[in-house]
Amino acid sequence: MVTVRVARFNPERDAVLRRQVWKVPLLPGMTVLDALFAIKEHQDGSLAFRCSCRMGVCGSCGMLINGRPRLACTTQVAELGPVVDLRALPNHDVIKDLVCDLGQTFEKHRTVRPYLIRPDVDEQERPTREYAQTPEEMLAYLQFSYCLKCSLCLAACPTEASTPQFLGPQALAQAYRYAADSRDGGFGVRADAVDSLQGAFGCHLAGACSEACPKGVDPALAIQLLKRALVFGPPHRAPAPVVPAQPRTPSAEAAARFKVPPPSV
Amino acid sequence: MRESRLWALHLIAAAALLALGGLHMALMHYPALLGALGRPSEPVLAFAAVAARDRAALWRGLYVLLLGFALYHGLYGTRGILREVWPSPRAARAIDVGVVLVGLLVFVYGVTVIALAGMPW
Repeated sequence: MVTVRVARFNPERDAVLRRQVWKVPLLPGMTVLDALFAIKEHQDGSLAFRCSCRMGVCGSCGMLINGRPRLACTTQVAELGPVVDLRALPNHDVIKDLVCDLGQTFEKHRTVRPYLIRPDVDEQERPTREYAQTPEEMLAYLQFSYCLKCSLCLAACPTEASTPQFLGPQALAQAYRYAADSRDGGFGVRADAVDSLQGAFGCHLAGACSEACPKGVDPALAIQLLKRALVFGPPHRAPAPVVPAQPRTPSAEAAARFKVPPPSV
Repeated sequence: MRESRLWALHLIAAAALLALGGLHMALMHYPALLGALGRPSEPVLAFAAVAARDRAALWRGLYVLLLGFALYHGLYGTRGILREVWPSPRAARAIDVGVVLVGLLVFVYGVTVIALAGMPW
């Protein structure tokens, strides 16, 4: 058996958090999310938590597990000892029990314009060609594109705790993710949002965000690279131009096998 | 001015402080070190030596630089702490203005002292 302690909060009834304890039979491979489902199905149907994919992809089940922000679906109960202590993510408003409000996270994310900004808007809206990118150019931002928006980094960030206006590691890492993308040309526009004390220069490099990130995004590194880009200029000077798509001429063997007509000139 | 420029200047000031502070320590507190480097040890704290440095343009320039860089570095850090403690936009403006005023006031006072110290008696 494992003891599960949950800091509960019902906005209709509670003024402060109240602690509730359940005993759950420990099963092999049981995750914290499995334990929460066991409580909800067999002991207390009113317990509120959020989840979706159950495999560490959607980022919905972030919560404070034994004092550390983690995803409930990828945290094994057996690793946590006899007592599992759960509460909603810090630095967020609590909606109910373990469900926190991620609205502010998404709002901050939108502030940094997390999409490709290019001068050729028509081409972007109605693409006729490709934006070519080498594997090396893709590696410049790939790590930072794994972000789930689970908000664990914001829950871990000490600056976020003291300064709610701080954009936070998630949004700043995504600002760099797009700045480092060779197809992007919006560094100047994005710099308006992040070149401030509430932006990249509010980060004290505590590194708690990188420790908490379940996907190895390393937001602290992204913020340092963003600071460098803001001081010395973006990683690339101009967005990659559109190029004609590779001609798709089938080999003679494939053409004969599948009876593909010759390409018209 | 963009925060990135203020921040870069903060780092430049830190590097300058290391150089100027190192020079100060070597000259004032570690004469043996200079002796080991081939420069004969002199009584740097004697009144005549202090007065001579106060009259030398090079030394006065270094004093002004040290004052400016130390003030900028210290006040930029103080501003960051204060802005984090009082994060509202109104407080931010007041803190920025206050820090600039304090910096200017202390800098002008310091430069005046350095200039007066170099005057003939």
